[in-house]
Amino acid sequence: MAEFQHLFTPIEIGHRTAKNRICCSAHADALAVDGMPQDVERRYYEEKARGGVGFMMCFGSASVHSTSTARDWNGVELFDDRVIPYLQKFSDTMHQYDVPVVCQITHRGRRGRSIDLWNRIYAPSDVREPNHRENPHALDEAMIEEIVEAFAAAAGRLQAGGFDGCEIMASHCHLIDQFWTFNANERDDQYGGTLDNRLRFGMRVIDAVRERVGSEFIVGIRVTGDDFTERGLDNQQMLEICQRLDACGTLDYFNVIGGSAETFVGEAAAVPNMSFGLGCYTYLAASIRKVVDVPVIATGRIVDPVQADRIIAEGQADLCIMNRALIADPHLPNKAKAYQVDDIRQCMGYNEGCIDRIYTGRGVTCVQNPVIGREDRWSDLGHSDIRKKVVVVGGGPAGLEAARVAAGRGHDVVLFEREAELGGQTLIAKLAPSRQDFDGATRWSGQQCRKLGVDLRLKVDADVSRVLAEKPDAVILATGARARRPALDGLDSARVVSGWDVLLGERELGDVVIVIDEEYGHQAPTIAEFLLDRGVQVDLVTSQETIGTFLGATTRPPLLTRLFGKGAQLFAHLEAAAIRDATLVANNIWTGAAHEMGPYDAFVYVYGGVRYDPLSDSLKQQGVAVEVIGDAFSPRSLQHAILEGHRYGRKV
Amino acid sequence: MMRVAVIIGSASSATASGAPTLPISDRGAVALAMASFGSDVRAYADDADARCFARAAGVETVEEISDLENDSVDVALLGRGGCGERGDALPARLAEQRGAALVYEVIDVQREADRLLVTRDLGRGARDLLSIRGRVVLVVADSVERGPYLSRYRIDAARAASGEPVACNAPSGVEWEPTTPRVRLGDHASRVAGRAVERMNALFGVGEIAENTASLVRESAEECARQLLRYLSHHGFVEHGPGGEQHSASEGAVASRSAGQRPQPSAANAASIPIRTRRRPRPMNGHPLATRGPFEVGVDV
Amino acid sequence: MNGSAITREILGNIPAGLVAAFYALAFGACGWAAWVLLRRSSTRHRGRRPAQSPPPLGERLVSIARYLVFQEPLRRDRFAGIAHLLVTYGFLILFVGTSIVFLEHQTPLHFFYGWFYRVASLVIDLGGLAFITGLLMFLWRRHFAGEGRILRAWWVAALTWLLLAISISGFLLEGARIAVELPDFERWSAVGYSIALALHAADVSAETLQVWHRALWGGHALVCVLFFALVPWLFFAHMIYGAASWSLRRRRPLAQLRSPASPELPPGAATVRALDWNDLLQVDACTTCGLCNMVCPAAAAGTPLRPREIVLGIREALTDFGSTADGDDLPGRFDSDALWSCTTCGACNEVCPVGIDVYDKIVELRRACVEAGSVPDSAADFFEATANAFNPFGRDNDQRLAWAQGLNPPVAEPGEEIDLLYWVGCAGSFDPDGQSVSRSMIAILDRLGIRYRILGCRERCTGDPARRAGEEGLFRQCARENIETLAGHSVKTVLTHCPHCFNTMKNEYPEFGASFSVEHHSQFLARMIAEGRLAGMEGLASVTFHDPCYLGRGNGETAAPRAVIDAMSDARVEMPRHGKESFCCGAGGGGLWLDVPGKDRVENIRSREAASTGAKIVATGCPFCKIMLEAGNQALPDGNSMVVKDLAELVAERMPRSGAAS
Repeated sequence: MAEFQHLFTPIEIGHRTAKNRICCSAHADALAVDGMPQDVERRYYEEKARGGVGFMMCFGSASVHSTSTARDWNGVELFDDRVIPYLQKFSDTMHQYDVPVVCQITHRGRRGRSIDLWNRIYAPSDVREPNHRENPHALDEAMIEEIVEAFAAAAGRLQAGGFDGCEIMASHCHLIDQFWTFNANERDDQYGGTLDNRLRFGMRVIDAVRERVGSEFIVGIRVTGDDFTERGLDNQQMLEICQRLDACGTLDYFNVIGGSAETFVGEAAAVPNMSFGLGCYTYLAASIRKVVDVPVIATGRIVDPVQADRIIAEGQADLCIMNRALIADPHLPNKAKAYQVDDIRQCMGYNEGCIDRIYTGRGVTCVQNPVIGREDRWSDLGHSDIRKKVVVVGGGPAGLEAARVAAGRGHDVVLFEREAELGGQTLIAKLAPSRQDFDGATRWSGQQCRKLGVDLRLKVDADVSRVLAEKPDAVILATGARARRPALDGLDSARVVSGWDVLLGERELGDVVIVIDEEYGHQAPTIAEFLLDRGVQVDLVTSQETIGTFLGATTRPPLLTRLFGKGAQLFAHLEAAAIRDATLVANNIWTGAAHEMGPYDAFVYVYGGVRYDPLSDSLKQQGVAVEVIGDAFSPRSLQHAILEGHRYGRKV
Repeated sequence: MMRVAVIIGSASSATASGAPTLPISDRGAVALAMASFGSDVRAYADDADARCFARAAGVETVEEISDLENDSVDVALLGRGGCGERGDALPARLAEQRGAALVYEVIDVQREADRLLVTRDLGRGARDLLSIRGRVVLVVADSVERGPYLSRYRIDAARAASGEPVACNAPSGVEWEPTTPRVRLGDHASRVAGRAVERMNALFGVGEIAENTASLVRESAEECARQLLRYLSHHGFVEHGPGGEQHSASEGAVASRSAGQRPQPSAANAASIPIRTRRRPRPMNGHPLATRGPFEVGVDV
Repeated sequence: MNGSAITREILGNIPAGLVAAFYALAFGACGWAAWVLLRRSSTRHRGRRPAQSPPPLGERLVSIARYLVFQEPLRRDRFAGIAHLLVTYGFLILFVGTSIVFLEHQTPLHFFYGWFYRVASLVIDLGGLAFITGLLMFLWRRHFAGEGRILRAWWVAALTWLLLAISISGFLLEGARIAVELPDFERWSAVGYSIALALHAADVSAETLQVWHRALWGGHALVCVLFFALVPWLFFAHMIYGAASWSLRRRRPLAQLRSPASPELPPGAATVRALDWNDLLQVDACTTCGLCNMVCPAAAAGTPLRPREIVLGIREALTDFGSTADGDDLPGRFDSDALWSCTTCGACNEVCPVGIDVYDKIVELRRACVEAGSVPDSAADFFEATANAFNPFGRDNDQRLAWAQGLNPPVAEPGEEIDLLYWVGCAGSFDPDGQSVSRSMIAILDRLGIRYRILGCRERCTGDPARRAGEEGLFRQCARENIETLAGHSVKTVLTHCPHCFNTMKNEYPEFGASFSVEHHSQFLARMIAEGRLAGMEGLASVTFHDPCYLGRGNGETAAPRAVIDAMSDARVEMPRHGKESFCCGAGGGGLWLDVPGKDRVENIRSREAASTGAKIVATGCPFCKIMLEAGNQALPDGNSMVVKDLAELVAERMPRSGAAS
């Protein structure tokens, strides 16, 4: 018997069978070229199919009509017959792995963007979109007819392209649920007002699609379970809507998410990051499963087969989307089935490599798993012909990934780490609230290193002689970074502390503290939150327009929500210049005018890191082949560190 | 004497659910006939199971359906199964041959002196009461009230008495369907209640109903006490000492509310989180540290 | 004073005419009582002959003796038990004493001299005191303790007061007698002597005393005669019928339902005549104590069912029937909701102090309803489902293997001989909560490396719900078909996780020719644990075990499931009602489908009780209990505060993965 018995029980969806309950969601991957799913994208999904996923939904927000292009995210466009050969090749590839393949179809309505292909934007009513702030034009009857037909035509193309089904998108406040919600629908004709009227457009789309594709083709729908907006679609309304949709008997599954994705917070809530609880929307799927008869799919931070199995066993849902979990490790299903749970690289919800990157139009990858998006080159780790002796200095993310990859390729690897614990800076970052999972990446690679027989020497401060004593063929230096001390007047005051020291246990800060953010990423806001949770009043000052300017669309809103929710004050456009007794002097970056701020009990500076590399020069003089990677090369993100570790681990 | 016929379909043919059973309307037809006409009823049935059913229901004369052609009948009742494969052709032919009134969707029959009172279901709760004299063919609706239950003992006894063979219900090939666990909703009600902003904040880990145990301080008793004092002084509940260390638990006297110069955060509305204007940046016009300026405009951020 | 002086004159002060009148009345009353009893028993003998013959006479006598001496069945209610014990022993002593007085008076035998007289006086007085104390306890409870279950009929109270009048008048009479001479040896009549002293102190003259004595004697004689005349009255009659009923009580497991008396006649008690004479004797034995009402889950849930009222209703029908030629429509005497809300949990049978098989009578009434065709739609639905689809859930029996998807359990080939057959049952096959139990069982069997087979789609409902809902014919059909299938495989042992299947196959199928042994999975798991094949499962959080009625009370198996839990958790807590006193989940007797609405729901009551233990996990050994408790758990105010699991699920989750294949 399989260990995850519920997860690996097949299920019928429409007239197809999914061999297990693990789904890949139809997500934007930003890998399409010219609106067509080409080889890179195909390889990306093929890896998941190889990994054993049970139900493959793909191409998030694939567009059905030219008034809703998919170019801003490099998505797939289905409004032209030229897509059919690409679809055929794609579906043929997936069907080799016995997995039903379904494509999402949508019209984004007012959420579309006009500046990519200069298309016009339509919506139920001319109400401005809150997120990208474009103004749509209200749909007229003729255009409604055209779009309904476009949905059917797109579904027809999918069928012609060998797909098993389509998923009609009615969440994230795309066109169909724009008709549902009063936030976007102010019409007074037969498409507005009563629930019957508001549902009319969606019902027509569903009927048109079903009529076009016949009963054998899967037609599912993606809905929100609660959009968290004040005049929007709460759970009670969604239960009513789903009951009515299900009563038509035309839909084969319901895919239930939370949030609406059209506001800044909504967009973040749609792809809950590390700071959210695991399975944060499962309760919404469960409520809808109570009222519908067809399979219901749950999503939202389902990252672990144990968790997913439990969701199925408890009847919360019939299937689980483990999308980001599958990005972190496409082979999760097969590993779970073989009960190699330890070997699963678990999604930690960092979002920087996947959704935050996709929102900027760049192709999907994974912070932890640099192979994602590079399957054509890197899907196989391969094996080195020559067995080399490799010394890695530094057990942070870069060093561990380098050691793991080198050892996986068959080399002899020795890794020196000065501390007693592997993880490097991730061990500091995880001390902040809502970032407890941050060391997931290093925990996994560290454990893989142990399994691969890497000689891990902890509490050893590697110097040149120690490295040379190993007679290495190659040396990888991943010695990381130290906190950068800015050049500020008055920095030597006892009231001034580095942000890293705050996380590491510096406690005597007083009651009112200012955090100076010149790092622009996670560090300052999470340190501020750390202090807020301990009852300290926190002000933040930054020379940027806001804090977290380096952070993505799903990462910054939760941080800001919590910071302001917990009472932080933010002062932007001000660059710290000096600390004088209890006050901070800062200059407005536009005018240069000096301002006095305070008084404060303590000043916390966060200026990012400064590279720490005590060995490379001496080793190079000794004629050793040295590669400096990660923050030791220059302080950047976790993603850079792991990518470089991987790249140079292969290169050895 | 009124000659009453009940026509029953097959009790051994599989229905949509796969289970062979007599349609509700057929059973209803038998029950209606027995209730209103008693011993006058003759039953005509397709197969042995249906004939046993009729005998068990108390019908004394039970014939094969093919015998129907030769018998003269004043009242004929039949259900969906009685129409069976022949469809509506059977009641239509019966009515035509005998010059009888034909009524569909019958749910009740009452016998009056020289006529029948027939209740017809018009759907959505509407009823039609028909008074009929002369011959009549009644097609019973599936919405007919359920007749008395016929126990297996009665059916077996009827079968034994008639010598009908026992039909065999052998299960066919194996198919499967997925296991579908029952939904457990847990504390769902509390999670979908409240204003949207509260639900969203709870999701983000702030606000009234937030359950963010991640932000709990897990420290020594001393540290927790220090944090508590800091909290109390922050909200103006205790005197704000000149330095952090001056606070100790014994000194934690509750200050009067009026002493709290700091604005009190209002728990009711997340939007009213106070801006502590005292620490707002204040322009330092002409100060040597300024990189540019001085500007005369009212610079503020 | 010599020994011969220590005696008393019998009826000394009473005029001979009065004595003669008394004897006439007393014998008249006894004769009347005997005649009524005989007549009543003759009507009873019009009941059917039971299918099972009663136990041998010797055994029954021993049973009666034990019953009288120890009164074990009464101990459940300690207060009433003590009161009854006092009344019984007091009554016996007084009865023996009075009998001796009669012998002394009417025969040449003489007993009342010297030490015997002294001791007898003391014993009789103490007996009288005990009798009064017991009666006062009963009356206190009736009039002041305010217990709901007590039958508030005037005549029950009146009969108790009558007994009190007999005993008190007896003491006063004795006091008046002694007070005339106040002999020293009468000190042994402790109570009588005390009253005499009091009279003496009040300076009542001897003449007055004699008059009082006569009057008191007359009164005492009158109430005694009244008592004898009322013995057949159905409250006093339990002195006779109670013992008889107890001696004839069921010896078979409580959950085993008896077959109808005659296979030729339609099953069920359409009239009182169609009941067994055993049944008729038992209803006469009812003391109206109401313990059955108190333990009844349907009553607790506020449905119209009160088991005592069923028994008393049958008794009433029997009384009415005595005067008419034929019995009337027996089920028609009862609220049909009352009949259909019984969960056949057997708590009433278990608790009845005179051994009445209460729920069996309800089933007889249901059988009659079924034959008459008057059943609730929900019952007709599941009967038809059982008949046509072979499972009460009405699911396509061809999909009986749905639960096993991905597990590939070994399905028996036609004709294959099977040593161990795992019987999955309908709940285990079709109900979501049951399916996870079957899946766990497969995991356990596979990991233990045990060779077994399942029947797959050839398995059919055992007929348990149908039988308990009164569809006897359908049950017989199910039994015949299943036994035939099993015989085709020469099955030696059947293993099942469903106590209902377990009970039916183990206790009821042998009558239809079954010859295999049956094991419940709790017994199987306990055996595996005892043999050391299941180990390393410790560390489970606190668990409370809900005894399924058909396992615990019905078949006496309360130890095995606890042994299984103890192997996993050292924090087992018990609910207030557990073991044989367990409270039903509400699903038995077709209750899962019948679902008669009340003010509360049985499963909610039980879940609240489980929650009150503070346990994290409610374990059970029955898929039906699991379904119900899960529903009750959901209805708890704070949501899913407990986890409801079957023993098999707990074991499958905790047993070592490596597989202890031996």
